Amino acid sequence: MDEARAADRALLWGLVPMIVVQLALFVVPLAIMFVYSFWTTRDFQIVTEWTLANYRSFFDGWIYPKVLLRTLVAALIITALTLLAAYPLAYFIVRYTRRWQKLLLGAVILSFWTSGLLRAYAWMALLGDSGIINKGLKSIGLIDAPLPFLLFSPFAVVLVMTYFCLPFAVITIYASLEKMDWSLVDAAADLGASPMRAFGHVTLPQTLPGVASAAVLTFVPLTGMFFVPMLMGDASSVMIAPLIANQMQAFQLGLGAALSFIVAIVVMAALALSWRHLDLDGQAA
Amino acid sequence: MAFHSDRRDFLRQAALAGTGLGAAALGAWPGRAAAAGTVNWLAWGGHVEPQGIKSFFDSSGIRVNHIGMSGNAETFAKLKLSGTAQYDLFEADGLWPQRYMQEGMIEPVDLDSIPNVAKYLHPEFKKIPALQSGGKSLIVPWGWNPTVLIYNKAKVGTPPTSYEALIDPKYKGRIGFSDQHEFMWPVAAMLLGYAEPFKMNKAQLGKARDMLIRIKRNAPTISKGWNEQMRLYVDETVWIGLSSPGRALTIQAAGGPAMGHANPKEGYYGWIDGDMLVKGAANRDSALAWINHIHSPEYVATNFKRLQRGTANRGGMELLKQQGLVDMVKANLMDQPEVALNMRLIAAPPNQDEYAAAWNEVLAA
Repeated sequence: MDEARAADRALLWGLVPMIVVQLALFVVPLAIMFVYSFWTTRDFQIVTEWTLANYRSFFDGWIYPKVLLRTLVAALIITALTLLAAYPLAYFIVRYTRRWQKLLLGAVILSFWTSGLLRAYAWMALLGDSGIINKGLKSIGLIDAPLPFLLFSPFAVVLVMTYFCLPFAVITIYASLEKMDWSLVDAAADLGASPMRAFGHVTLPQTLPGVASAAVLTFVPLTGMFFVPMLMGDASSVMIAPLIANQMQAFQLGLGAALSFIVAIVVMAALALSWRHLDLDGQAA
Repeated sequence: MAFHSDRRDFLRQAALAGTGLGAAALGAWPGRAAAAGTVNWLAWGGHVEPQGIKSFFDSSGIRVNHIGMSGNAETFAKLKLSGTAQYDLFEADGLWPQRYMQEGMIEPVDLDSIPNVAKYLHPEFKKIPALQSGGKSLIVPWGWNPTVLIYNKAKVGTPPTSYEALIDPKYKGRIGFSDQHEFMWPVAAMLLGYAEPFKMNKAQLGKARDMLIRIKRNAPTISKGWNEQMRLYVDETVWIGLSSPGRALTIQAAGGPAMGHANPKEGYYGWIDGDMLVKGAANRDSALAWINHIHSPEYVATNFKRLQRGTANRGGMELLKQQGLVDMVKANLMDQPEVALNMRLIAAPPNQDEYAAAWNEVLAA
């Protein structure tokens, strides 16, 4: 037993490179950014005087709270739509496609094989004024002029971001459904529960941790969405990430860092609140 | 027991992977390439001709490492933060070279000491007053162009004569709006009658911001970069916008509608870009040899045929003419270098933080 422990301890050294990488590429840069958030820049010079000015800037005007709220609302809507689309798909794959399961899962993640930017451009080709959808509808006489809301609109951003997030949610919910004890569903049916009732009282509660994980995996990256809103949104659909990037590019490192931390804190607080509300403790993930 | 075995396997694999990654990372770590025969060139991707790099290597044995760069402010910030030691040459446009000179980052160049530059550069570009220091040039000029109005000839009947077209309600949803704020501030300033677009005070900046918000509300989207803008012109989503005059021809060549360009009555700003020599560059001679190579008419003609903009190089222009591309030369004003000297140049605002904040308000509105 002691030998086994000693061997384990020796092997733990194998994790050292990973810890070093995490420290060097995540913890240290984050700490540097945190320090910068209390400094300012003046004419491309970093002024190393401690100040809360950058954090105050967030609340000074209307723009940052407004755009952050816009971002959070958009992320929430897209997360909800993604879960609504992902759950039935994952359910279908687990329950009805035993033979083709791997193939279907492969199809779900197939989109990752191409760059996100390319996929966004492909959507633009579909949704644009002279895109396939508008041309098709025009050719069958359903519309006279291109539908204006298809591209450069909040609709386009929500649609495409939902598409981008779908694989993450499907895979996560799939893992949860796959592990579920399906004999409980059969038992509920034997006791006279309708399929809907069995779903609401047996299936959903058991897979809720998976749904919550999918929600987190979807929601958190959405708060940093950048290129899809810029490419597909209208001129008023700018999210918080481009504003942070703009500050960084203009060498306003302190303000950019402070904005990043505010966004992170708001997102973490929202997640903590919802996690507490869901009360998932004790349920198997 | 099985658990123990799995964990050991995992840790063993983690150790191997970690060691491998560490070794790979160390091996790939970019060091300062001080060896002769290398040039570290921080440049806009559009200026790179892979065939030109290859032919330079074949003839000189010097390897060119191209490192892509983005906007002026971003590049300046990056170099200010990390230093210039890892580069031999980098690029900028407008009056930004002055800032680099003030910071002691660059070494002015005697343009006549570089054979191809001495022989082929338009004489006008050898003495750009704002870009001189002690009889030498801060920059080896490469391309240039004014930023004027371009418009869809069929959709916009009468050629626009003023930037006011950008806020005209009849073009709602048809205006091109770029995220390149350096070119947007002068438009707002000129519409408001301000003489110094890059030296606006807070009150002026507020009004300019409101003007840009008005223009933005006439635009369907905010476009990033020229390729994205061009697509909007090609599919006729936007009809009027700002660009170099020659871009009208590029849009048509890409299958778009017939485009025209017009000089607005308020005036226009423009840019002259080029390469700057890093002060104390590790590979100074190789860097100058590379500058000499890219100023050969062949490299210039290849690059500007693709980019469609004005060149500062007379030899390249003549070669394009010989290739029968007279229309392209004229559309891009390549044969009118005097225009470059008469236009006002984009610059670095001294109150960068206020400009960045105001631009964020434009984006957010």
